[in-house]
Amino acid sequence: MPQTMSPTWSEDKWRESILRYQLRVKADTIERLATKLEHAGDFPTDTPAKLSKLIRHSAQILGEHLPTTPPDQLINVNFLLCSIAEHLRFIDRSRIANTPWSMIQGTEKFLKRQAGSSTDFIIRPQWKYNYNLIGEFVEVYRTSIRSLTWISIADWETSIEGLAQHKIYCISFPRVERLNCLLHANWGHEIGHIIAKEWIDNNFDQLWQSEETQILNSVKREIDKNPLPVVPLFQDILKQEMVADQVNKVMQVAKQGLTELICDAIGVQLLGPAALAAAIEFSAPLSIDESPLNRDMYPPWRYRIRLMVEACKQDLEEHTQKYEAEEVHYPGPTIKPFWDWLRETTYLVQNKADIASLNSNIITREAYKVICAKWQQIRQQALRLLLYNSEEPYHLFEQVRDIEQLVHKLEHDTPPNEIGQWPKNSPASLENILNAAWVFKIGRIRQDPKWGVTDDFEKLFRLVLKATEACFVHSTFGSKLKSLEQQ
Amino acid sequence: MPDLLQSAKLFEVGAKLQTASSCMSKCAQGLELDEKDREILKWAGSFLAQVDWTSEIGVETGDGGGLSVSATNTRPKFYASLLKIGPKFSEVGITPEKNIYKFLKSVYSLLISGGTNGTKIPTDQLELVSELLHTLSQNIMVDLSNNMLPTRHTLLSVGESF
Repeated sequence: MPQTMSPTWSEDKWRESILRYQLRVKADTIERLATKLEHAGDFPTDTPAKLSKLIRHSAQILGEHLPTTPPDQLINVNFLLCSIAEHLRFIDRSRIANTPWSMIQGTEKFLKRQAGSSTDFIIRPQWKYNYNLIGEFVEVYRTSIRSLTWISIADWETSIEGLAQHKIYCISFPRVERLNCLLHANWGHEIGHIIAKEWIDNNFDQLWQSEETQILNSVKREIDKNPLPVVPLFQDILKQEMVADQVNKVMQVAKQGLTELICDAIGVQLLGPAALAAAIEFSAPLSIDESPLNRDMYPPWRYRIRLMVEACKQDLEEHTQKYEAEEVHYPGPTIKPFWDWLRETTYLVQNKADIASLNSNIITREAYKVICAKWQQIRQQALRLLLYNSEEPYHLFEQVRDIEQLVHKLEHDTPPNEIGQWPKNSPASLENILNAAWVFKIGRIRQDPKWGVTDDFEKLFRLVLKATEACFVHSTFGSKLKSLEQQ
Repeated sequence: MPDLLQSAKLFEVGAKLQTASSCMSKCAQGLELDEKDREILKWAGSFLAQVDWTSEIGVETGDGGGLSVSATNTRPKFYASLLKIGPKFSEVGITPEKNIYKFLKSVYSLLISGGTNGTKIPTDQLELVSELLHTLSQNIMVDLSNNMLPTRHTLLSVGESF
């Protein structure tokens, strides 16, 4: 072992020489893996192949430009390549065998209706017990690559061809709930992340600018109440760091809080009580008053459910409506058990333990002061960002007769995929299928103490999955079948 | 939800600050800057002037790129970087603490000018600016990548999962 350091040896040069060949191999390997997945073919839609192509070209361009990459940027290229490689798992896990495949095409069609036709979704299971939406991948790659000044962003866009105008997201669901399509009403919340992001991108910076000074003053006052230990040097910079850290946390809590609350609002807007029911069931085993500071900045569940209950207010009241010259009472005997169950959430949200938790700390108190003051206006702005006919909320009370028909089918072990009878039939909407499934499930649980073993649930899930597949086929090819019949 | 785009934006800030650090090093060595270098310095100057509460430099905001949010995000790391390289300020003759703020103001003007009024700042101080930008970039990148280590999640059982 050499005992003295060579005068010509440089740590930076030594690391650079390792990184140059290491990154070349890494980029090539990612490119090859992506190519393999791109041509695997066992996916329910062509979206996984699109993400593979994006990853393949991005790794390729990073690899090709390694000779001109500045030495001090090699570690950043390494970080980028490693991040890109991690995204391959989304593709790998979205193979037909891993997903509720019968639901995927219909769901993607529903999601595209809300997010636009150039938006694609990968739906994949994850072992972690959670739902989430990741992306948007094209924009993420564009933002990262444009910061590397030695690579032309135009060359990258040319290399990925038409994908530059696309948006690709990945929606994850808990693996153990693969068949539980009733809980997948949470996908309404996940698509809300696209809308929430649009709102945040367009408005949050401005909102933050208008609130930051007042928040900064409150944080400074709080810190002044507990003076810093006296340090000989940089006393002022140390204080600035503490204040900056707390103000940053207020911003993170406010941003994450608004994001999740907008998503909940979108979920309820699209799927009505099914979204509320899924949120209730998902949060039932969780601590619902946890401070955002302990839970990755997420709002307390009780706070979220309170706002969802408010948004579902009309569906929690009684109504009488005209339906083909007949007076229809809501909830009526079929829907009533589900309606009663939902109305019990009003007791849940009367408890204000979540508010006490938020008020107990300056960071969450300041963040939620902003959220509370602006929520109604923000919610309205966010809902206006929805596409097509989704500006009108889904209301269960307006669907009584259709829901009754679909529940009747479930009671007779038939997939609830259509309304009416051939040829005067029409495909049921995904919204109605999911709400009917919840009405059926809660009705059964409340009326029949013996109902609710695993086989009962699995039968319900399979009927609903079959219905979503059949209604996709029906809505896509039904008109052609009818015209063939008439020939 | 993991916010990939927020991470990408922080990556962009970190990578650009590293490029700006290299440009400052070039300035210190008396090397020519090209147009791309000048653009990066201008961006770094505007960004840091917004990050530093004491800069008192009016910066145009609302560029649609979420500069205010990125600035709030970066601010704790900026002051932490100042503390980290703190002793080096006195090594190049910048003391007491209030003079650091004065010096930083001249740095932002230099950056915003695209490095054109660099002759007013001595070479060793330009090297210090380069080091500050590098330290801040490194702080952002290490935070973002967790130095490529897995995040620890505590489990119900004794121990941690990776």
